[in-house]
Amino acid sequence: MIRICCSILLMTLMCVPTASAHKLLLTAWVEDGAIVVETAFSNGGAADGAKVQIFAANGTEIFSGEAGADGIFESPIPAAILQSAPDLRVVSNAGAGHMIETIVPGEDYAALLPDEDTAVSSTEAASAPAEAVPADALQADALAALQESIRTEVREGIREEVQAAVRKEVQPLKRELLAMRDAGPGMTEVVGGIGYIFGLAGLILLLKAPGRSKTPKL
Amino acid sequence: MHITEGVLSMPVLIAGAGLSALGVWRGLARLDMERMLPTAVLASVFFVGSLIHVPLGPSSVHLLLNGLAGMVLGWAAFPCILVALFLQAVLFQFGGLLVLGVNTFNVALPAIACGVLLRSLLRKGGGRTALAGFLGGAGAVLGTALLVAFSLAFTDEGFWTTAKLVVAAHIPVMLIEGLITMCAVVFLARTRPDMLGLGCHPSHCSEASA
Repeated sequence: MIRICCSILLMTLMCVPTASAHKLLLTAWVEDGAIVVETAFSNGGAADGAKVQIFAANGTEIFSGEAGADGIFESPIPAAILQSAPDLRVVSNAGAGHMIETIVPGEDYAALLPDEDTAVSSTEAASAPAEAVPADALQADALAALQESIRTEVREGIREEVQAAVRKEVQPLKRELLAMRDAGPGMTEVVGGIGYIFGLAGLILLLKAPGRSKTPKL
Repeated sequence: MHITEGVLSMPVLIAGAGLSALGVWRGLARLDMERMLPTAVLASVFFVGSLIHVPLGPSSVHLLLNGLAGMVLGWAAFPCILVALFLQAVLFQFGGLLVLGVNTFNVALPAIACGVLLRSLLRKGGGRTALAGFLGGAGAVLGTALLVAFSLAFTDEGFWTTAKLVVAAHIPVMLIEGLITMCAVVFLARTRPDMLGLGCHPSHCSEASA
């Protein structure tokens, strides 16, 4: 009997190192005025078609949508929300009882974009007159406008490229961080849980044991 | 199979908790000293079983092993599964504490139903015992999938959508658990028929015959 029990237990324990948890993971961040929500199962599979809802702090739904095949949902945040920057509650439902939520704090994205835009335009405003060398007033104006538009375009291009490159570089790190955060149960939890079960069984046995005299016999 | 927190509405949570409480109460009444060790072992098996994954295309599903608990323990499967699910919720963050009642009911009831319904088939011996084991393992998983779908029927997902999704995802699990339960039941029927309620303890039998 004990031998059977022990062999079953040993067999199940041997399977543990190859196992991983099966729950839902969620990361959400604000990028370029859009919220990006990535939902995945902890075994690595993307939560294809997960329903994503975004709520304001007061519980009203701001918008919702479905994640793509890669488990990523991306949607621009309405300007009014971007300005007031409330904490956003992101809820993702992958169906069949799998649901997870997280909070994107308001300060993470508060006035991020407006600031950046004003900064860019102010540097433009400052640099434009300094570099312009007018020979003729009309020609100078046209030249300045041309320079200005080229500069803006180049700046935009560089910004987009840098953003894309950074996103590409950071993506694996983000995943790794997520995997580390939800590494799943290890040997400690498994052995601990089994210990709890047997401890509880022992306790019940002790309590249910037929009445023994309180003072041990000598 | 673990429904997570926040999916179900309050009436479903309360109903699940109430029904599970009744089952656990009945199970504890049936839980005698002799069954304590098998109960603890099967609780451990169930607790660890959810970590064993069956790869299935891009995704994977985990084992449940509730059928074996139902066939060996009968109503005592309720407290056994409650404890295992509680520890999974606390240590593995599978499921959750508020949905513990619903999850316990969804997993334990089909297991017990299989144990009760297949008892007569189990007693017939030989190939029929093996068949009863397979049906018990597979049927308990199917029953749990259907109950999960039923629990979610009161959310906006609807019964049929969830039922199709969950049952389809668990067909390989049903086959694997059927085979595991079949092997375990055949082994127990030969070595310890008393654990399946099929006769007396081998040592007691030999004492009686001697």
